[in-house]
Amino acid sequence: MKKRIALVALLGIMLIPVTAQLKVGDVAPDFKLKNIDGTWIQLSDYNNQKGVVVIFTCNHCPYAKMYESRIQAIHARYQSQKVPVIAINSNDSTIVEADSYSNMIKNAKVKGFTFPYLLDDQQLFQKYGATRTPHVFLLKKDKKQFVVSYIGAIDDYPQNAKEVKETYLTDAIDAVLQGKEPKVTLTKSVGCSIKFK
Amino acid sequence: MKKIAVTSLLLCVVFSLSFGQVEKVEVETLEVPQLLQKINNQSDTLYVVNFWATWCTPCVAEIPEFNKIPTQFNHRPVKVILVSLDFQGQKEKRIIPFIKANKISHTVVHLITPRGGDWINAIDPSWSGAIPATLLVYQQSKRTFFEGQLDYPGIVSLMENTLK
Repeated sequence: MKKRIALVALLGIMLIPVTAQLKVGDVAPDFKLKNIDGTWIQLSDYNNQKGVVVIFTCNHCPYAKMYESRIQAIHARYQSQKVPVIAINSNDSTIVEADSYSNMIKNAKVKGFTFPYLLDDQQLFQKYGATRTPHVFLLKKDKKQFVVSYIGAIDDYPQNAKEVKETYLTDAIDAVLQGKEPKVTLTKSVGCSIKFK
Repeated sequence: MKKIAVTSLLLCVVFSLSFGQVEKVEVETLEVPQLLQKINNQSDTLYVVNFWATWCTPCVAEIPEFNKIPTQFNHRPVKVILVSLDFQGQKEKRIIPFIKANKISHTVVHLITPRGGDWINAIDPSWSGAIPATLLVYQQSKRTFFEGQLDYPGIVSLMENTLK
């Protein structure tokens, strides 16, 4: 009996990680996180926008790195159409030094990011249900709230931007801008787990 | 005298050849359907399939724990398959040196990551795609899946749960 309880407890502890899991149609949780320029950014700062592309990403993960220029291109393309990108790094830098705040500043400078790159030291990723980098949550403005309209991958081919066939995220953004539901609302992709204690 | 010399030479050649074979590391490159075929059968084998990559820090940290898995568990054979998601062209450069350096005793395969994410659901519908992740399969229908880093006691719990 004792052994059973111990085993169940062990499994329970291992399964703690993500408690919430946003679904398409849910209201997106607000947040207030520090940007690499030292200012604080809130989701509610974007109330005059048509939508926001929230991307959980980081500096060190090879999958995140493969998407950096694509993310920058999406921000450049859609910011003027009122659907800007906000990138969020939730990795604990005591686990991965490369994902520290100062390295976020450096990485953004080297890669030429023009979007906010926020440090998540409040486990916001758990409220969203983000499990990997990169992991996208496309939010659309709906009256006074932001509602999730697409979750998942940026496209279908991390390895090479030139060989992409399905542009899931930009298709979803285009749909939102046309007042329609995206054809594909949920996709999965390989990524690095989010590092936290 | 010559006979001894020739025999010694032959023995040396045989020795070095056999040592060469012991050192050789085989890593099969597989498509997802081929991997699924390997693990979905009615044999008495418990399959422990770990998804990892040489560049993934928590994956690398848990490899020594997977090395501890015995070849028999609860009277059944155990087959551990370490499925590398390293990028194509990295087998010789990264995977094989890693196997040698970490003295990995289990089978390692190199997965050709398909386009898109449907294959992730085919491994397990609850998998988000994050690695490390481990799938346990026994006689096709008994399946347990865990997303995240494991230690050996955790692996044993999962093995026990799969065989219940």
